[in-house]
Amino acid sequence: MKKSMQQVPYFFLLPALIIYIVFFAIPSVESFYYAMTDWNGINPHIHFVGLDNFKALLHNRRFIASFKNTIIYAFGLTLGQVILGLLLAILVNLGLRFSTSYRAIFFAPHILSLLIMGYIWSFILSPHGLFNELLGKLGLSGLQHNWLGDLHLALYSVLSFNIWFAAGFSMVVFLANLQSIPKDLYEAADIDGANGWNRFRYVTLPLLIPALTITLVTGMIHGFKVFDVIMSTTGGGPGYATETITTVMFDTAFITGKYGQGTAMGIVMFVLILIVSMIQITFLRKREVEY
Amino acid sequence: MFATLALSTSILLAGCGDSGSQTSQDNSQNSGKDITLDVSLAGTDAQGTEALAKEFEKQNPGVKVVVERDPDAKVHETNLEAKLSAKVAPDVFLDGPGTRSAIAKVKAGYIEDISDFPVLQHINKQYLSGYTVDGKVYGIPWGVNYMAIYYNKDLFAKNNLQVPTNWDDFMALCEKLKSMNIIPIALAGKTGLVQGPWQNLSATLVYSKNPQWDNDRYQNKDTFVKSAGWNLAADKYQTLLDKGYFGKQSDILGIDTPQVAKLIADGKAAMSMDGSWDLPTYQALEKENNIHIGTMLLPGNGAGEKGYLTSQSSHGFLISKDSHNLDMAKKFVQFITSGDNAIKLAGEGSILPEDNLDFKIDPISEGILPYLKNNQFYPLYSTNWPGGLDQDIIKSTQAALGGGENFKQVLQDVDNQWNDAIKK
Repeated sequence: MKKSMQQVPYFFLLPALIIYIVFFAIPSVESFYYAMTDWNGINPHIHFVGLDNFKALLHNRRFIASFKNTIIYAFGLTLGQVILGLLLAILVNLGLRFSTSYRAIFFAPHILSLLIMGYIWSFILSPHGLFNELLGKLGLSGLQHNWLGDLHLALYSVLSFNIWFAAGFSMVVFLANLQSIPKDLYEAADIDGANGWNRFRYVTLPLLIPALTITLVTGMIHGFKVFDVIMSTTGGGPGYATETITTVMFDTAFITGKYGQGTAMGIVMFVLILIVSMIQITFLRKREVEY
Repeated sequence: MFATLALSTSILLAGCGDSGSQTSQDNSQNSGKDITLDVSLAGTDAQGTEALAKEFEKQNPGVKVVVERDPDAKVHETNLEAKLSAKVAPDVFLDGPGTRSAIAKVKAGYIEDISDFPVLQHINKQYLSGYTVDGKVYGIPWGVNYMAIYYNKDLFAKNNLQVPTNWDDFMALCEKLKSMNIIPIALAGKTGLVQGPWQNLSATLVYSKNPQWDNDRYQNKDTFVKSAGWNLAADKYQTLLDKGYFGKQSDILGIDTPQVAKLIADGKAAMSMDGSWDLPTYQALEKENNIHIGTMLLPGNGAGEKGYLTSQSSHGFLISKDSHNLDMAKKFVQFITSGDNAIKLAGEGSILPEDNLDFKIDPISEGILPYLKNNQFYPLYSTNWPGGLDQDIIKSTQAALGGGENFKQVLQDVDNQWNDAIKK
């Protein structure tokens, strides 16, 4: 093949590459520079301030609260969606009657817009909303709460809704993995006298590590960058109760015009996701088994 | 990181296509021929602009006015910042008053001085403060907003309740309503309207005593924590909460504006704290529920003392310094903001900043009109504060309303954030 012909594929890649570089790569790299400036989004006179924006975050009460909330949210969402998703996948994989319908029902929330669902759930969970009405009708009025307006409950209310929303996705990933496990491995385990738990512990679980890696890593990343569901349910409130790094970053940059500081928050989040994802992938990859 | 992603991309692209070559020579007048004026607005602000633009075109042959509206103020602000940075800003645009919006753009050198516009002589200086830097004016508001109490007039009439004019009477009114199992003041705790009581109380207790309080704070002559007025405002806000006048405390932070309107419509609440930007909500409430709504001040004043309202100019028209058609842009802004055109510009029922115009306001707003006519008002407190402090006060106040802290701590939080902002 002529050398010029070998270069043709690169030519076709060029438009996408240019778009990627101009709209993603360059701005991303520039972020590291802007995080060390006092840029307010419009003033052409930008001053280099070194690490001041990062130091300021250490004293920023709102950011500290959001950092803590983000960690709780990311780990809570990941664990919640993995456990619930795995349970649902096992349930659907048992081959019960209507299991196809169950699969569709469990996955249904995930095909809807999280933003729209957030608005709907904010009505459902409001003080005089459907959920409290339902509790009242069931004679459980003692359990009625201001689910999204209580400083101590709001984060967990939003988190629970998000787990419900995301579990369907985890279920599908686990289910695909479950259905790819060869039957003869279970037959061998049966011959060895393994009970139900041992079959799960020594056959299913090790072979589910690839699905676990995907759901844990994507769950953690979604948890760290959560934004739309917070904005549509609580807007970060009440007080600092549901602030996450992304909501504070958005407000800091776009509402208050401190783009330099907002970008510094973005860098912190980037480093956080990078570290956690690397640990997860390294840890889980070692446990993947081939069959 | 996405904070910079959008803006830096736009700047990068703009940098490719426009090297900032619009110099002063481009700003020369194009003698009224084949001129296109770009006008950028947000939402439904200044609703008469399009019609007035057509009139302007008729009077100025060869001039085309292109009016574009962003869906809301937030999108508008973001777009505007990107365009200004890239030197592709519209000739004329709306922007909010204060340090975060108009003043930041003036200080960045993007806005034309319009101090010589004759119409400014008829506008109260309080309404221009958010557009003024070093004594020069850079923007003209098209209307006036206020923060006040909306109340169910029918419920008041039925129970022979009077509109209170001082704090003691207000407390007595709230107690009476509470004893009738009616929430005295429905507060949309989920929203920024938690600032409402601070706004009205500080106008009376802080700014009427010392209109230069913001300057004193900038110079560290006073702080929120030390200020007698702010402490009094915190005490009064705390009292309203502690006495249960906002309703059940555990419910407050879950309520938003539509839910407040529903509480009033259902007769479960008598009053609400809100701004004039939500006037359409109350107009709809009147129509749909066949009730009458009025407005009044949250009076922080004692008996025999004057109470003060919070009233702020709307977004204002600014002219880009980089406009290719600077003189025509100035002519256009003067055309739409002068005389009867100002009434057409704002739309029916709006309150205007000009004192020489005879305009009709919506009957709902009549209760606060005396305060405006008698000059008994101060702008929204955060107009000249360091940018972003209003967000901090909202968050801290919500924490106080939820029982996470008290209102004195809110003052401490705002002081801390102020010091941090000034240090930067």
